[in-house]
Amino acid sequence: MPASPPRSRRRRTPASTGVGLPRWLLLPAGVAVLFLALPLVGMLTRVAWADLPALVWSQSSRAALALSLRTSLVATLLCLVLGVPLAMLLARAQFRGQSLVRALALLPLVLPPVVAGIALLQAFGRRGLLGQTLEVAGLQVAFSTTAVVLAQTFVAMPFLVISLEGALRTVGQRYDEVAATLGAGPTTVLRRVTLPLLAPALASGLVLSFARALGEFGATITFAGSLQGVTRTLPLEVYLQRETDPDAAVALSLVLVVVSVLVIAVSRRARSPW
Amino acid sequence: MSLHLRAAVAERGVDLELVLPAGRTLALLGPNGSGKSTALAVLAGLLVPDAGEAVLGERTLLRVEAGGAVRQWVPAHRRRVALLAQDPLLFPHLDVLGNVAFGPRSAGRPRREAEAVARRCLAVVDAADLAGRPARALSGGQAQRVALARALATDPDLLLLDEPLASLDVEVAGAVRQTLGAVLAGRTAIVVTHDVLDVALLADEVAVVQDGRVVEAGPVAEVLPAPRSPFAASLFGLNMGTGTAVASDALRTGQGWVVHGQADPALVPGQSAIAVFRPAAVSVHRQLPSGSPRNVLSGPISALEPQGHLVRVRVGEVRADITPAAVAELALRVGDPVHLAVKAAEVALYPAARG
Repeated sequence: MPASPPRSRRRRTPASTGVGLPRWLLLPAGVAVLFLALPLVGMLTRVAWADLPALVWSQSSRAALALSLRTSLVATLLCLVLGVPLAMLLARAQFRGQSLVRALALLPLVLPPVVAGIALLQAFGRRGLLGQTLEVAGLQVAFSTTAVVLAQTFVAMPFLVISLEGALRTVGQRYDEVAATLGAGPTTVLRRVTLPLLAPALASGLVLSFARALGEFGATITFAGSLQGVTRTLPLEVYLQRETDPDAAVALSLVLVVVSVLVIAVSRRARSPW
Repeated sequence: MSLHLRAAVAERGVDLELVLPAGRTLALLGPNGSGKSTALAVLAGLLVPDAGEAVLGERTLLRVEAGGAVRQWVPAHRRRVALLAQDPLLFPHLDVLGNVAFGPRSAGRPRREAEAVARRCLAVVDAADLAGRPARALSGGQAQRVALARALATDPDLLLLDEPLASLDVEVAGAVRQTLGAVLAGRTAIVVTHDVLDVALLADEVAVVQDGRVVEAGPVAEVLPAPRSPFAASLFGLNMGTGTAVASDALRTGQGWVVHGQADPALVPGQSAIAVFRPAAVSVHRQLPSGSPRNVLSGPISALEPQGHLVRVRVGEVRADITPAAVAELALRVGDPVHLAVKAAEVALYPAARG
């Protein structure tokens, strides 16, 4: 049988004494925990709990939340449709310029989002590379909901590609080869063997992409602007409210924190069962 | 369906040719890294050789010219060649029935029909009761039976088995070997193994592979009792001496040792000849033995190794398997001078050229 990770993440493994850790590690590790926890605690202390429903459920908040969910879902779907084939190509094929393509696929991870927004404008904006063509086709992308989706897809796709490419390498091609010798053509192998084996990685990759799309700010505001109900997603709304209504900003932030926590929980559950 | 394979893979130092009549099982015998699995990968369509050709029945599966130009390449899924590896590689996301039905389903048969085929194949390998189990909940022997059923369910023209028993416990391997023997009867199949027992029990033909070349091939009944190459003899666990027949029942080896034995009637004095005897038939003595054994070889012990429940004593090329008690009694150490004796009745003598 192939080595499979033990399914013990909810079972407690017996504590291994090992070689022991140096005690001084506790200090910096403790500082790290505090550093990560304090901002959250700070926020929780500032939440106006009594007004929370009203703040979260105001007309502008609801519009922003709805837009965020809608655009993030579409962006995640785009990541799925475009990212899975890309990851397959990167992990399984060999072609010239492969490392270049891989670098390109990972670039949005390290690119400052504002820069991504500027770059998207140069491609899809009215005076961008494709702007003329799109305009002739009757499409105006920049500063539209479409732009929000494009910005989110751009920054979120690497998460899916990375987690899938890694999983593809871990799973290896042995099952695919067996399937082929059993008479399954490439599409059948993909549908009945490769993708089912990848399901856990696919799920966690999608969840991460969704989370990244949901939190997108820099590229969105640069490329799509901040138009209520059209391009003003929840992060943008938080940023705007901060100026006028700090309580509302904190309340909406809390919503995003809750969503993020849910995302982490879901992605941990989706880890490989085999 | 008969098979003819020629394949050269420079990177792995493989250049071999196999011929297999229809309905026969060929054992590919050789040490690890000798190129056996490479040959299977080429046949299964998982590896493009630098040059070669494979013809299965009427179909040319692949033809690659010496320059590497691929003239014909049937993709793996259209070859009707099933491969069973050492690792059963059952699809972990399917249950046993789903695994076995995978082949027929891929061939486009409706689910109900594919599952009927799967159940029949599971019954053939004595695993009918496993149908509903998840693939991950099987023991090694069960998994290998199911993998075999999965391969059979595709009704392959050629069945390739790559050390199918290597990962199993001895007892389990015995039971699965029996199943394999029943399944392989009348099928065109290749079994890769380094266990001579598999050759004897599963195969009709044997090809001995050394360093990517076939050094000896032929029907098992001919090759196994009378290997022509020292390499094959050592794989078969036999001692072998080559030399010239000096009488109708004796040969003289290159080192000048005269060996008497039971001679093949075809043996003519002056011919190149081979003497073969089992290590267990060799006795070890401190003093030169007197009496019946006419074949005595003297020399220092070059190695003492465990060999099952016995101890293998090596003197040069010759091996003797004796009990640990005998080793202790004689107080044998590497380097000690000893005399090896083997009765003439235990030695088979035959011409070096077959036929």
